[in-house]
Amino acid sequence: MAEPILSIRDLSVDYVSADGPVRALDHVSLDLMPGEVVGVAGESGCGKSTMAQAILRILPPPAVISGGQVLFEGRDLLAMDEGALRRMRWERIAMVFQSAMDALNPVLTVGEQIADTLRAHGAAPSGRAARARAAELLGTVGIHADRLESFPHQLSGGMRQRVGIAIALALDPALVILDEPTTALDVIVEREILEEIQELQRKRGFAVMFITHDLTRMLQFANRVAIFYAARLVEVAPAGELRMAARHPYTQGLLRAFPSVHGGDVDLSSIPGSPPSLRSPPRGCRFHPRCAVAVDLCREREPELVALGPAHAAACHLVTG
Amino acid sequence: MRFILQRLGFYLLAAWAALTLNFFLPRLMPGDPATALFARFRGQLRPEAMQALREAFGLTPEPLLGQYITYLGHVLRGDFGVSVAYFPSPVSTIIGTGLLWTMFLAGTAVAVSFVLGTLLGVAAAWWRGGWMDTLLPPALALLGAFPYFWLAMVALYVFGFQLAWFPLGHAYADDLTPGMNLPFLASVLRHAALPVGTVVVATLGGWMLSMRNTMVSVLGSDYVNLARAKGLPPSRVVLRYAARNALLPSVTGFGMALGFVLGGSLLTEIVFSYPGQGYLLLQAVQSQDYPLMQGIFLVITLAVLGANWLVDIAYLWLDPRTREGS
Ligand SMILES: Nc1ncnc2c1ncn2[C@@H]1O[C@H](COP(=O)(O)OP(=O)(O)OP(=O)(O)O)[C@@H](O)[C@H]1O
Ligand SMILES: [Mg+2]
Repeated sequence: MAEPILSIRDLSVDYVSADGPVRALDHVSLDLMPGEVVGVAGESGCGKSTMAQAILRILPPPAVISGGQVLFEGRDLLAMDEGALRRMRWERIAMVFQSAMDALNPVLTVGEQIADTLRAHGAAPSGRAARARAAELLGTVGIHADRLESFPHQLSGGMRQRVGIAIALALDPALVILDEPTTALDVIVEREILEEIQELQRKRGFAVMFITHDLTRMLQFANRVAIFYAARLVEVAPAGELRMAARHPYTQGLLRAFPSVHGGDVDLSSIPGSPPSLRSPPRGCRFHPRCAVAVDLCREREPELVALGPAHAAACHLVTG
Repeated sequence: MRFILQRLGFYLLAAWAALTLNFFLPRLMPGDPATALFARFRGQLRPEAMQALREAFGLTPEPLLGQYITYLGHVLRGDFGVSVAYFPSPVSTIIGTGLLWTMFLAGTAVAVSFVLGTLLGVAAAWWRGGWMDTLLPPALALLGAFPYFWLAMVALYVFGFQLAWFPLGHAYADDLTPGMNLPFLASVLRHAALPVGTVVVATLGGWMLSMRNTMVSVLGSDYVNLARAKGLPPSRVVLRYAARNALLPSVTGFGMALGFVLGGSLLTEIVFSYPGQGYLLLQAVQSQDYPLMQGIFLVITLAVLGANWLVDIAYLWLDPRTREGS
């Protein structure tokens, strides 16, 4: 079997504040194979963006990576010096940010923001070459080259997110992290953009970490899916297997909340309550207060992730291989 | 373009309001400058001179509207009437050079303070928690909290009197002829160093803190994060992505600060015996020289409005979002 391109090991991240740290990512381990599409899902605030930004080491303060490793092609990104890391950033790993609105610099034109990426990595020998390549990149996401002179506020939300994708693809990365790339968009634009991303991924073969809380989209796109709950990874499985045979009660609830793969209203009533505060997570399994099948053990001891098959694992006391 | 004209229209309106106020205020006050002047000379003027004076001040028997139109016409030609204290010199000639010195002093002080404070703010935010971030703001806040008058006196005493690094007063050495020659310009700078320096020290903390705080929030923004993720060199991330955006709120404050320092130049000029118009204003108040006071106020108002208009143009150039429709 091939080596994973990305291997997250025991990664923990804290947000440090005056009244103590908040653990937003708690001992998470996850692998990505080259060319694989891995979906990451979970309710708002469970740590998805935190993980994405920890991989690229761009978490702004007060976040602190408090443990673990992020091995990319065998090298630990967390132990790398700034210079080496700067080349990894974007040449090997790129990212599309959650909010299309805020991810572009309001005072630079779209062209400048693509060109500076190219030039910073020596991917364009001259200003003119950078422009030409920027125009070409906009073309791949369906935007006309005369938009190079536009400022972000002159573009629609969908166009801005397309620009974000164009920037991500600028240096032909081996891994693209998509952090809810379509949340701010309407359904039609959302579908268009996701189809474009899928198309580009098939053509170029980069690996994808696709973060969303829309399970339906994820099950269509991803080869494998990782479910997060309250800063922890609770289940990981191939997409088909997860859909048919999810083992964690939380995953099962999420699946019930998205009744059909072809849309329908989201209804989280199958999981009563809301996620716990990460400042003081419940003892034992973090999901037990909302779990219909919890037993005494769940209130006492935190479950470990156990393998249930070759690519399937879940962290629940009630499942055994 | 439309925005610039819109703003220009706004400032013209404000200028007109200031002019009108300037016209009506003295006419609402008891007595008139001509009578005041007449009284000052204690009968040394002949009664016929009284009438000439009244006319010089624009207090003709014409109806108010006529007076108003005459007044506007005069002001547009730069004629602010005749000074009482320096009778019969026109106010415009008296204000002339003083105004230039004041604008030079205030403009330099605000510009230096703004640039320096902003750079310090950028550095403090970038090396957040470093010494510049922890020691400098309270130190500057402390300096800013001293009464400016006191600060200026101490600076004058220590650097001017004790150490004799800088001259004790005036705008340039007496033995030099004003002009575009090196000795004169050097002398001007040496004379401006203490007054400018004290204003900078007193106002630096404000600029630094506001820039530092905006910078910190901008550094946490998605677009700065994306810039770092893109592997851009740190200098570009700090300057073109973070500082460039964090600068915008500060620029808005720049015009206002300029007005503030222009208006408040009185203290600086008194302490450092600087021949600006603040000094003149003091004399004008002491001798109840209304035309001179009015002229000075008007000129300050117009200078502030003009500066704000320039700041608007700069803002337009800095923030593409305001360029809409151009
Ligand atoms: N600046 C911060 N200070 C303190 N806590 C933070 C900060 N940013 C995030 N957190 C905490 O970290 C947790 C994880 O945040 P994160 O943004 O990673 O969630 P997410 O899974 O991406 O959510 P969403 O689906 O809404 O994007 C949140 O519960 C939040 O409380
Ligand atoms: Mg998120």
